Amino acid sequence: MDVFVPRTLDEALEIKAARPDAVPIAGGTDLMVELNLNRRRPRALLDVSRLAELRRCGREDGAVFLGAGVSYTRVIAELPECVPLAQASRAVGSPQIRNRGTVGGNLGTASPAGDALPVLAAYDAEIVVATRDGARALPWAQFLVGPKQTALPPDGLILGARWRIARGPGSFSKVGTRNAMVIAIASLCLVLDEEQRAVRVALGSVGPTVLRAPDAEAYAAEAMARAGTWDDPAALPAPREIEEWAQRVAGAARPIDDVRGTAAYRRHACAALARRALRWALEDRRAGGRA
Amino acid sequence: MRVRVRVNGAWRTAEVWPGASLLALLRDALGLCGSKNACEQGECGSCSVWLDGELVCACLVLAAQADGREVRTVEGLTTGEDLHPVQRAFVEAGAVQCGFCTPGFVVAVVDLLSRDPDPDEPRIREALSGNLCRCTGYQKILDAVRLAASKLGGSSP
Amino acid sequence: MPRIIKQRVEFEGRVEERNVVIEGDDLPVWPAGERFQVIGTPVTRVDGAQRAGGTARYTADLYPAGVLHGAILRSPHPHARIRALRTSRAEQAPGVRLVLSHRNTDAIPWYNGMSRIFDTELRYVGDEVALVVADDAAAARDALDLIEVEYEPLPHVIDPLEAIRPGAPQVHPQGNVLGGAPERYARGDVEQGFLAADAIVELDVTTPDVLHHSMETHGSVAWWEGDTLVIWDSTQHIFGVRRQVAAALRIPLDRVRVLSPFMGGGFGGKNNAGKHTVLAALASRRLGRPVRIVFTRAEESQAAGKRPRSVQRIRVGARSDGTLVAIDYWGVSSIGAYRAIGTPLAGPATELYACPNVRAETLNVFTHTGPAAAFRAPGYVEGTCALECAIEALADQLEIDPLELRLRNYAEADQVLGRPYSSKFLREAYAMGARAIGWERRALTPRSPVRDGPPRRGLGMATQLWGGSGSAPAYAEVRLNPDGTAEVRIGTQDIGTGTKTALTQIAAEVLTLPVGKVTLSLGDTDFPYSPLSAGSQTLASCGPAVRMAADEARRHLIDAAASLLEVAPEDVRLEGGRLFVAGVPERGLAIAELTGQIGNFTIAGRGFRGPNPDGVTIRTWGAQFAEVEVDPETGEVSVLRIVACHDVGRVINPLQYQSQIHGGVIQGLGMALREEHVTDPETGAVLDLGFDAYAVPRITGIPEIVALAVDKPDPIANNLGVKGVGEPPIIPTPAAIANAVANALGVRVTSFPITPAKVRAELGRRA
Repeated sequence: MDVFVPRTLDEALEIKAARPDAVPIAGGTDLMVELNLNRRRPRALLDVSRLAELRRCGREDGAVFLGAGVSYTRVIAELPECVPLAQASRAVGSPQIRNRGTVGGNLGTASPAGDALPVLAAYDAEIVVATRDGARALPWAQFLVGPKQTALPPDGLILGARWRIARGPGSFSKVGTRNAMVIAIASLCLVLDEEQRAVRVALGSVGPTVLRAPDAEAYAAEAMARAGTWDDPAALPAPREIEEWAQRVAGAARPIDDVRGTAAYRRHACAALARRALRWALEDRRAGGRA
Repeated sequence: MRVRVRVNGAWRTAEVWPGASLLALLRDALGLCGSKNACEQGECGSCSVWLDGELVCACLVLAAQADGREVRTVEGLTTGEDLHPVQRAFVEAGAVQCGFCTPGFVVAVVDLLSRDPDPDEPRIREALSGNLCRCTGYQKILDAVRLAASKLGGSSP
Repeated sequence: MPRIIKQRVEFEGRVEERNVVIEGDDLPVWPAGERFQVIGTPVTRVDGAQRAGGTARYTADLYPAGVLHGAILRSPHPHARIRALRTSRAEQAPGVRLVLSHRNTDAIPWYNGMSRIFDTELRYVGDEVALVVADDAAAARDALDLIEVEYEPLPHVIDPLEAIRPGAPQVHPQGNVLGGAPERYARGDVEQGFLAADAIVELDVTTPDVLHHSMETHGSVAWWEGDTLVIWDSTQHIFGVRRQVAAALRIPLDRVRVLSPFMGGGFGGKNNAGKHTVLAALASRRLGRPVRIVFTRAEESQAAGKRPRSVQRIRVGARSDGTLVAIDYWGVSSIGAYRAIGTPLAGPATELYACPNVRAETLNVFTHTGPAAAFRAPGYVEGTCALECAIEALADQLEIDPLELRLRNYAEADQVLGRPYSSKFLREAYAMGARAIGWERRALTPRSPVRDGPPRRGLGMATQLWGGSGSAPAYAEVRLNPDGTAEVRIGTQDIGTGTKTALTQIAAEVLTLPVGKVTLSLGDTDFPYSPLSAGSQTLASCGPAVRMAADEARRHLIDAAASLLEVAPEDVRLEGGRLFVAGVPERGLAIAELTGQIGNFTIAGRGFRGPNPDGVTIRTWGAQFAEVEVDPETGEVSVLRIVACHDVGRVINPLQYQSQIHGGVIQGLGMALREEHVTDPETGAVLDLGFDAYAVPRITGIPEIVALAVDKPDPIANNLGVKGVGEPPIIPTPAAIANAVANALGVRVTSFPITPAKVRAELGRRA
């Protein structure tokens, strides 16, 4: 096994071009487990933890750029205004894991249970990837192509994620004790976009990959428009409309029945999360926090 | 491959398998067995150490990633025969049973108290959410953290 | 004069006959009200500094010079025959020193003759196929992939109920039921009893496979010093390992020394030598170097034992006033591929309550899964889930307070063996616990299910019955040094419970020395014999022997002082480390002054554990109360508070008593709500190979636990009046939580763990 420890992005991309079999390692929260337990023996490892380009984090041209090498601890400290992302980052593991784990790692492994992914999906984020030939951005849905599958080219590296800053409340929540994969039952990210008068919702752990619920999103946005909620936070959609929204979100879930037979419950949990998330968002707006 | 790490203030060099973790380096190569190997998945915190001042699970750090960096382990907390106040608090509160998880807990608590000298209970629980103990039921570990916080708070001017 | 006596001994829910050698007369029991200096005080761990400081050397921390590392190839099939096995590629891999398999290893019988150390028929995913020994752990693990094995897959059975159907694949030639038939118990006439019942409750209860997951995994490090084998082992029984390894290697007992001075938890999973222990010894003999085999967490999940899942049905009948008239119990324990001992599931149902008509049938069923092992109160945790949930359901049906119902059926004597209890302070435990939780706040269980709305609270309780008497044999030695310090040697082991500290307290008490002047050594078969640290028996077995050894040394001290002080021995007092003439405190000398004046180590004592009293049953008792909050919408359960009050005789160390209670409760909570070891019925593969997928409770989700003790000495059990506390606290916790959930929602989930999905499904079922 070869280990490469590049100091610059250019150097790293040169190595990746020459050795597409080199597996990038940053926080090691997934890959090291596979190495330790003898589940995987890559022919080469590429340490990206020393690349300054991957550690950028902040606002750039009306958008947020989050470098692939930024730890969850830094996300919480440096992007507090991205509330759902900070909430999802807090839900990740433990201090030890948050100090090492990165959104880039979540993207690289593309696990449907990765906590940050529903947030990126709800943000309509782009994933920025680079090869020796340059960088390009892919919409998240084109990047996360399937369960544990991404559109990252063999000679490419994930630089980070970028999304437009939307004004409006939002949240990340989940059912199931954290840190125990078997009972990471469902997670949900809801974002209200005041400028576009749009509702965006994404689900984790309930399908082969992260899922959006476009039908439910359109329904909720229209229900809010009908009720006049977008202009008057005190004017709320009817309870049955919130219930309909919740059921539509649950309808978008594609859970499979595992050994424990929890598909029906996962769907039910999506409805519960959706109902609560929308109520919280509407309460936030009514409480004056229209930002 | 050859890795050079500054451990508890002293530069140490060892030859390790390229895929080896920092934990394997510390234990198998350097004989520093205070950091325990209990899961190798980053789930139990028994191998908690500081890498460049940041609390990490040594099992999730590739040894090569630690090359040229500063590592502090539980062994670095004890001066001679004298236990660190957090270690003393664990003993006094009865927070040590089989003790296999204790060094990892101690490191995590020292890290917590260095950033928040007077943490409330939710904060303590959150800070120790990455450390597993199968014996104590955690009650006396919570006691130990409170005791350590009061001791350290009391001893500083 | 030593004499052999036959004694009926309870161990982990089973009664066995045993011959023990008794060397003389036991000391009288320290009575209630005895005044102590050290006993009963919260002495902190005598080895706390080593454990917290990271300097304690556990087996897993041992890397002797020249050590080689072993890794085990395990079966990928739940049932298969090895057709061919080629090791040459592995043997040629870099760093590899040795590959052991059935082809080059003696057919050492294993699992009570059910298998061999390397069998050619494999009976679970994880069964041992071969061992690779290499220069480092990674090289050994990598070489496993180079061993070429041709397997002939055979039909398998994972589910115990399928395994007892006619035509099911057979795990062993003698059939899938251990012993060929169910274990049966009966008293009275159950059918007649139910005819007299005004209310009958019938419950189907299932409990999951649960893993011990000690923080230190199983491991052994072995080397040879001449023709003597030295083994460091993470074990609950160094003398047992010695006997098993000596038999396997066919070497005399005196050529095997086993050490385990620090041990990172066992919970019943380390009661025996593992195959890895013998393999480390065999490989070390061939290679002439130390060999270390330490399980990965994945191996710990696959092949290190489990509390086996149970399927139970219980029917209880009572008159309208709550008097029990019949209990009918049926249980299946899925013991995996190799467990040789049945699980005592029916223990609580047959003994806990006064009931004239009881029938019980238990089947221990082999399946193609990892072998079951004892796990903290085997059978009784599962059996209590069934009995105590049924009792509380019965109370709800009769509209009688569940605690009152229990008191109305209080068993004053052991109805199974037909004899009295040595002591039973369960009423006291009920009263103390009920007061602490505020049991009078318990609202009536809703008559119809609560499906939505805000989170709801509920209160529930359950009772604990268990052994924990300890028994002979156990021996200890005490010697006094010229400087007045004392040393105690005893061949027990401290598996994390605090044995070392509690035994040190006993010696210090007798010798009137500060704890710091007494050094106790254990975990070495060079020391006097002690039993397995399991069955809550360590303190009650070893403690009386330590007391007697210290007492003998004390008598020698007094005799020596008497001759120096020129008085009769009965006129010498020993208090606070000082020997003096009764009534004349200034006429005396300190222990160190005395031992300094006489020859080195002249003062020594030896002690043994006396026999248990005849004709009585010795039990531990307890009650736990749980308060929960349930979110009806998601089905999530939060445990807010557990009050535990147990009667385990005299408490030697209240700090350690509390720790044991806390730890047991949290393991019980894990089993109640989250922990489940899952085997894929199609492939036989274990789906939880570590803490990522198996939910050991974390500090974030734990409730407040109030640990109370009745703390009354047993008047006859042994010379200390102590019983064990290791297992009692886990026994009632899952049932108490389940009862609290039922009290909150008006529906009863009897399939453990009580996951949100099951709560929701149960609420849906009644819709």
